[in-house]
Amino acid sequence: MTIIQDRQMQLNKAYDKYADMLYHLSLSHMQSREDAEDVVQEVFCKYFAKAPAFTDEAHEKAWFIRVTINQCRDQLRHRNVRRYTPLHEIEEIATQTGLTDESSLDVMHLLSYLPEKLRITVILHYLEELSVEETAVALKIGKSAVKMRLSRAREMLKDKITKEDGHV
Amino acid sequence: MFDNTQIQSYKSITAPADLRQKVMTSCESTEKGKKFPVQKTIYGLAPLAACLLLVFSISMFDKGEPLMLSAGDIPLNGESATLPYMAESVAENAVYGLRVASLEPEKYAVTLIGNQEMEIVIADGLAVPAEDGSIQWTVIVPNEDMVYKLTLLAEGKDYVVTLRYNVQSGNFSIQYDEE
Repeated sequence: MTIIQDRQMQLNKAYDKYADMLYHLSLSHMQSREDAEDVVQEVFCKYFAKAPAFTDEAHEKAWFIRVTINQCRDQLRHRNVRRYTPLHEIEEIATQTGLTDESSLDVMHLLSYLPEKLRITVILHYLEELSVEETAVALKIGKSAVKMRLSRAREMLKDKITKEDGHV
Repeated sequence: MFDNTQIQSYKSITAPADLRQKVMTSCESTEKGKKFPVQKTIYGLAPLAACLLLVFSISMFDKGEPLMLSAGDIPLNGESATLPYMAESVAENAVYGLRVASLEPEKYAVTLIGNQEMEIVIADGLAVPAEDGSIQWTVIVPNEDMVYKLTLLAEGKDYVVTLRYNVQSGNFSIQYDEE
């Protein structure tokens, strides 16, 4: 087996393991199916090109999350996206991605109210279910900063929900 | 914040069926050098950027604000090389020594020596702490321009070491940033 074939096999394995996670992470962050696909594609190409070696599974997962976040940020920077997605576009995004049940719509809807920094923190901790420490490592910030961002996000959403008379 | 149904609903989002094929095709064309023309152009400007960074770094250092250092190119040619002038020119808590050695074809060992405890946050390639307090960073350099990043945590500050390999010159260039 050549080095390239070996790397292709590794890529396939990594894809099986992480593609879904990276896709819903990117989708909820970018709020666009096309952009999410681009991000996932770039991340796996980086993995394929760099062939990083990992000490363990946690290290590998952290690498994929970290690179995905960086890629999302790069894309957001380049397209100069607005911070909030209007409500009428949320349903459109959800329809594009097949997320037609109420729960998915709620999640996408709520996330769209948060600024980028808070949104990614919420996604990693509450939806990807990373611990505060893992979230801090992924975002390269301190644990206290993670807690502060989560608290600010909760406050922002609470205000929003109160105004809409809804429930989280 | 979210109930279990919402979390499960979020996690049930799966990548589109055709994405795998797109990824494979895209990665293969990257390997053949057919993709990322913009990035390649940027990488082609790396030597110029490195010079600008060096000038900028020196000017910052003169002002007593050593935020960034570009250490220049390291010729490898299968031999080991050291960057002596990284020493003493950066902040007290910085990495002050760096050595690159060829392990085997396409594989290089980068040793980062610091004057205090450094924690590896995240690295491209494999980075492990050595017993002497240095960090052994192993990177694979294929036959193309590559950029590797290693983030270190020392005294509560993040430092990013960026290693660039230029296939045309066969040199590494190192950039060191405090975040």
